Amino acid sequence: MLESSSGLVPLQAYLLLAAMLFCIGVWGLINSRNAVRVLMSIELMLNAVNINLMAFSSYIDGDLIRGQVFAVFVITVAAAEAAVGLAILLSLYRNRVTVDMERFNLLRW
Amino acid sequence: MPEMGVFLLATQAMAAPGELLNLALNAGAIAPEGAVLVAMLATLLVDLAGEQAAARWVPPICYAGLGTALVLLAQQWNAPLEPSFLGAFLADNLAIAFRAVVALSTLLSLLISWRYAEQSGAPIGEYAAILLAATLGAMLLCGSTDLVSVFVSLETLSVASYLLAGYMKRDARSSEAALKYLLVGSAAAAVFLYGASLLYGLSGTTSLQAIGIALLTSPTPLAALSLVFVLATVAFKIAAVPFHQWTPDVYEGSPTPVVAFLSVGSKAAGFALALRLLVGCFGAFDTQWKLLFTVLAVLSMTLGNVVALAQTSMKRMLAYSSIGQAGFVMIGLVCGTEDGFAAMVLYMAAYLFMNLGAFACIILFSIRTGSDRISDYAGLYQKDPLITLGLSLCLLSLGGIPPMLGFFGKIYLFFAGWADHQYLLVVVGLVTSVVSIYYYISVIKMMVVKEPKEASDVVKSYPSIQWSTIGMPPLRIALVGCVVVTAVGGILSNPLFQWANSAVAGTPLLQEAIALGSQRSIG
Amino acid sequence: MTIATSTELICFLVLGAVVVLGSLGVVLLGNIVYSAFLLGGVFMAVAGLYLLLNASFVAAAQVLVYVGAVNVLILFAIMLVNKREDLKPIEGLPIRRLLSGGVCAGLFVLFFRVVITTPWAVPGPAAIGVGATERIGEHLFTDYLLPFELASVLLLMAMIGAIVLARRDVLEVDVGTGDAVNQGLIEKARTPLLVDKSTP
Repeated sequence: MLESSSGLVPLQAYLLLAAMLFCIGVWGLINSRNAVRVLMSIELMLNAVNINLMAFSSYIDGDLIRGQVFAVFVITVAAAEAAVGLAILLSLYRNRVTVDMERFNLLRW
Repeated sequence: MPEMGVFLLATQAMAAPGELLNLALNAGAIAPEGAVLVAMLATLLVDLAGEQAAARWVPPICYAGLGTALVLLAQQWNAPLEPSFLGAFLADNLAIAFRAVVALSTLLSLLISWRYAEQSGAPIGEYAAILLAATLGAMLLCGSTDLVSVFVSLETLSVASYLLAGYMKRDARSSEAALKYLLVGSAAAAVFLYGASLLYGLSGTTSLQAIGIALLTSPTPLAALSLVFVLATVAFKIAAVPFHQWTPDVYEGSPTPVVAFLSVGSKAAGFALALRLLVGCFGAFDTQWKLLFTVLAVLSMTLGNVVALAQTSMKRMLAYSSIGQAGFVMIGLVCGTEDGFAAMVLYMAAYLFMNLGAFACIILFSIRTGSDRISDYAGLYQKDPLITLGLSLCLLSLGGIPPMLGFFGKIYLFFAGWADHQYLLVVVGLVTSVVSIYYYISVIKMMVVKEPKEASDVVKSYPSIQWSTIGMPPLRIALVGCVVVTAVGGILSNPLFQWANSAVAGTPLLQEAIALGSQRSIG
Repeated sequence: MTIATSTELICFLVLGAVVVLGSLGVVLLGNIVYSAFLLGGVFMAVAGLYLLLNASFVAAAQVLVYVGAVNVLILFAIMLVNKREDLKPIEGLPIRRLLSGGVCAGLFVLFFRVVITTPWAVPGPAAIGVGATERIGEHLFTDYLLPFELASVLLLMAMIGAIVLARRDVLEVDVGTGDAVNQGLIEKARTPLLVDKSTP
C-alpha cells in the first residue's frame, strides 16, 4: 500500500482522466446502435463519476471520505439499474427480435 | 433564522461521525414513508398467497398505507422544524405539501389501475409494490437535503418508473417505452452525478445547505458548469423542452395508469427537487438559473401546446399538454417571490385533480373500447354521459376556463409573474393558454356536438355500462372524486390558497430566498 | 523522487492508459463481445486507480459488483440476444459520428480548461489511509443512514421488477372476472404492433 496519496500524481490528473472517460461514454451513448452497448456507455459514464468522487475524497475531504461513501452508493444503484435494463431489454427482444436502436421506432420521436 | 443556525451546527458537528451516535435521528419525520414501506412489504407478502388473494387484499392494504401516510403528513404540518437523519432529510412545509401531492397521486392512480391491470393479465401484487416503491422514492426526494439522499431517492423513483413503463411485457410498445425511458433516464442520472461530484469537490461536503454557502463564497466557472449539469437533470425530470423528447413516447407506450402517476407524482417530485437544488443550493447563481429557466419555460409552453394541436392519440396529446403545463408551473419558480412559490404549490395540487380526472376518463374509455384515438370519442355523449361530462370538465379546467379549479391556479401564477415583472413569461403563458383551450375544446366538441349517425364505429358498438365488475367501483370513485374537486374546488378555492401560502410561510429555505430577492429589488 | 512516488506515477499512467484505450475499444469495436470483455478490463483498471487512492474497500466493491456482477450480466444479455444482425446502413452515419465526436471533444476541452483553472483546495487534510473501511461503516450508520436504508428498498424493488419483466409467463385469465386476458387492451386493435414491416 502506498503511503501518501497526495504525492506525485496531482488531483487534476484524476479529474482529466475522469473527464475523458465521461466524454467517451457520452460519445458511445449518442452513437451506439446496439442497445447493450448504450448500457455499457452509461456504465462508463458512471465510472467516470466514481473516479471523480474518489479523487476528491482522497485529496480534499481528509479523513471524512464522504466521496467514498457516495461512490459505494453509485456502484449499488448502477448494479440495480443494469439488472433492470437488461430485464427490459430481454422483454423487448422477445417482442421484436432486434437490439438495433434505429429500429425501435414504433414510437416516433 | 434560528433553525438554520442549528442546522449549520449539526452540519459542522458531522466532522466526526463516530461521536454522533448518541444524537437523536429524529426519525419521526419519515413516519409517512414508513407507512408506505409497510404497505409495500405487506403487499409483497400477500402476493405470495396467489393471484386471487392478491386481487382481494392488495387494494385495501394500499389504501390503508397511503391513507395513514396522508394522516401522518397532516400531523406534521407546521410542526417544529428539526433536520432528521443528521441533515439528510428536512420535513418543512414545502416537503410536506409535495409529499402529500405525491401520495395522493399514487392513491388515485392505484384506484384507477386495478381493472386495467387485471384485464391485461398483469400481476397486481408486484405492480402495486413497485408503484409504492416509486412513491417512497418520490416522497423522500421531496424532503432530501443531502446530495447522496437526493441521488438514491431519485434513482428509486426512476428505476421503479422504468419497470412500471415496461409492465405490459407482451406489448412491444410498452417494452420500447421502458427501454427508451431507461436509457435516457440513466444518462440523465449519470450527468446529474457528474455535476454532483464536481459540487462535492468544490465544497468538500454533500449537504445542500453547506454547498450553497460554499458556492456563495467562491462562485467559480466550474460551479456554473455543475449548475448546467444539475439543471439538465431537473429539466429532464419535469420534462421541460428541450429535455422532453422521452415524454410523448413513454406516455404513449406505457400502461395508462402508470402515465397518470408519472405525469403528476413524478413531476411533483421533480419540482420539489428543483426548489431544493436551485433555490437552496444555487443561490449564488440566481440570475443565471432564472434566465435558463425562463428560456425553458417559454420553450415548454410554446412547443408543448402547439405540438399538442396535431396529435391524434389522446395519451400523446395529454403528454404534450403536460409539457405545456410544466411550463406554466415554471413561471412560479422563476418569480422567486412568496406569491410565485405559493402559486406553484397551488397549481401542482390543482393539476393533480384535473389531470388524474382526465386520465380516469381515458382509462375507463379504453377499458370499454380498447381505443385512445381522439376521433374514436366522436358522439360519446349519447352512450356514456359520465365520461363525457367528466372529461369535459377536466379538460376545461386544464385549459383554464373559469370557474374551474385550473382557472384559479393559472390566474394566480400569472398574477405572481406579472407582479414580478416577468412580462414575457406571462404573455407567452396567456397566448399558449388560448392555444391549449383550442385543442381541449376540440376534443369536447368531438364528444358532444356530433350527431348520433356521425359517431365513430367504436362508439356505435359501445358495450353496455357495468359497474359491478371487480375493480370498477374504485375507478368510479376516483373519477367522480376528481371531477367534483375540479368543478367545485374553483369556487371553494380559498382553503387551498391558504394552504399553499402557509406551505411557503413554513419553509425557511423559501423564506430566505424571498427575503434575499426583495432586498435585491430594493437595493 | 522516492521509489514510492515514482511507482505511483507509473501505475497511474499505465492504469490511465488502460482506462482510456479500453473505453475507446468499448465504444468503437464492431464485435459486441470484445466490447464486453474490454469493459471488464476498464472496470479492473478503475479498481486499480482506487487502490492508488488508498481506497481498498471501494476497490474491492468495484471488482465484486462491476466485474463480478454487472459485466457478467452484460455478457449474459449479449449471449441471450445474440442473433447476428446485419444492421441496415444509415445515410450520413460517418458525418453524424464525426459531428458528435467534435461535440464530445469540445466538451472535453471545456472540462480541461475548467479543471486546470479552478483553484482546488489542495492539499486538503491528511488522508485517512487504512482506516477507510471503518469510516465508511460509520458513515453508513450515521449521516448516510437514510440513503443506506432506501438503497435496500431500491434493490428489493429492482430484483422483483426484473424477475417480473424477464420471466416468460403471463397470466392467462382475468383474476377478477375469469375471462381470458386482453393483453392488447389498449389501442392495439388497429395497428398490428408485433409485425415489423422492415423484418424480412
